[in-house]
Amino acid sequence: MGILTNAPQGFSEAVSMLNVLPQSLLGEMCQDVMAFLQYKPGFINIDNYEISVSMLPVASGQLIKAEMCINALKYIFRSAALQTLSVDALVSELKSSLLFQDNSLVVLKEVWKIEGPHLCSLPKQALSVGELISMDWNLGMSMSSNSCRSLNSPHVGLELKVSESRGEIKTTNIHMSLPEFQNFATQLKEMSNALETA
Amino acid sequence: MSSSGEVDKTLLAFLNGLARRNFFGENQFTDEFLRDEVLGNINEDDYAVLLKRFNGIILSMASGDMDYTQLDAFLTSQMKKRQGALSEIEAATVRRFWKTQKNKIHECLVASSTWDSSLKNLSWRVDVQSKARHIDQLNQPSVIVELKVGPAGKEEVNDVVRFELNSEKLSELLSQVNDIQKAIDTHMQV
Repeated sequence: MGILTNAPQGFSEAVSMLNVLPQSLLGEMCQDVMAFLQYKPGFINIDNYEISVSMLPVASGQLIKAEMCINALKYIFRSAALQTLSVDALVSELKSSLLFQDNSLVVLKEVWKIEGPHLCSLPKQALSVGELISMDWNLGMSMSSNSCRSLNSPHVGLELKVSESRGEIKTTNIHMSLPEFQNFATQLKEMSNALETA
Repeated sequence: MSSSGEVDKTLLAFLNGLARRNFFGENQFTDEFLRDEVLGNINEDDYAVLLKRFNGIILSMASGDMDYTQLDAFLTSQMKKRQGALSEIEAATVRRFWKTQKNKIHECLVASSTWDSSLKNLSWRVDVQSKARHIDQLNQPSVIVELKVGPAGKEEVNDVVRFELNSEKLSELLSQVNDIQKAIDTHMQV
């Protein structure tokens, strides 16, 4: 399956911006993206790139957004790594989209040739995670069992459905005591706080 | 059997050994070990009687998850039995045993009646979104969550579930968590 078939909206627009960048700037962006993908923590200094981009001589009417360029590059390299594409395979896919100009292709090819193998050697989980499709829950009370007449144990049951990279859906059932559920709830709130301040 | 103070320490050790074997799965507490090492090599017939009597008592207490009121009533009736009645010291020893082991035994029984996996570990980190509908969103922070699950009552991990949550999805989950909390408050007096 072509790596560009599921590209997010705005991808072609982003590539047309990439095509306008001088090769040295494009090369820099590629390096930063590859480093970012390999060492996951950290960030790319988008503000600096926006400044560089704003100083380029461009035809009137064309707006270049560094952030869109970077995002497109992340998408390309992440997808290529997930499918462990060879240099030739990557170039051929990008070429057949008719979106990329030759000078962009040259840069991307060179970066992938040098950095691609490192990125591909990372475990796939570092590159892709599943998406939570649904969480169903129930609240129950186990009254009694063959090993204990007076079980009287309240519990929360969760059923999580996660879609994995190949489109398979994995279902997991988890049983929690009330204290375990409270802890789970607390952690979710901490995540929410962390996201707000991120 | 020797006795000292309020409780019979040898009997207490025997009761603890039985609990560890019957509930906590510690198989080294065999009959041979208990009869010989813990009870000081009493003869086998005496051991058989002792085993039947106290196993029965422990199983009754565990099955009913007796509170202290129920325990006292139970021990009183055991002391009044015509045959094999408990002595004062034995009753006191059983009471001491139950005080220390009651909760742990109950937890084990709950775990053994739980057939779904339980959550062993939850880790998470804030990351940037890896998939998005629009290219502008590929920089949005998201949370990567990793759950480790395994059989209830054991430390073993037999599955890892990993997924990404954006702030929208996380809000949905939080709202469901609120619903669960409301259900708990409504249905259960904890």
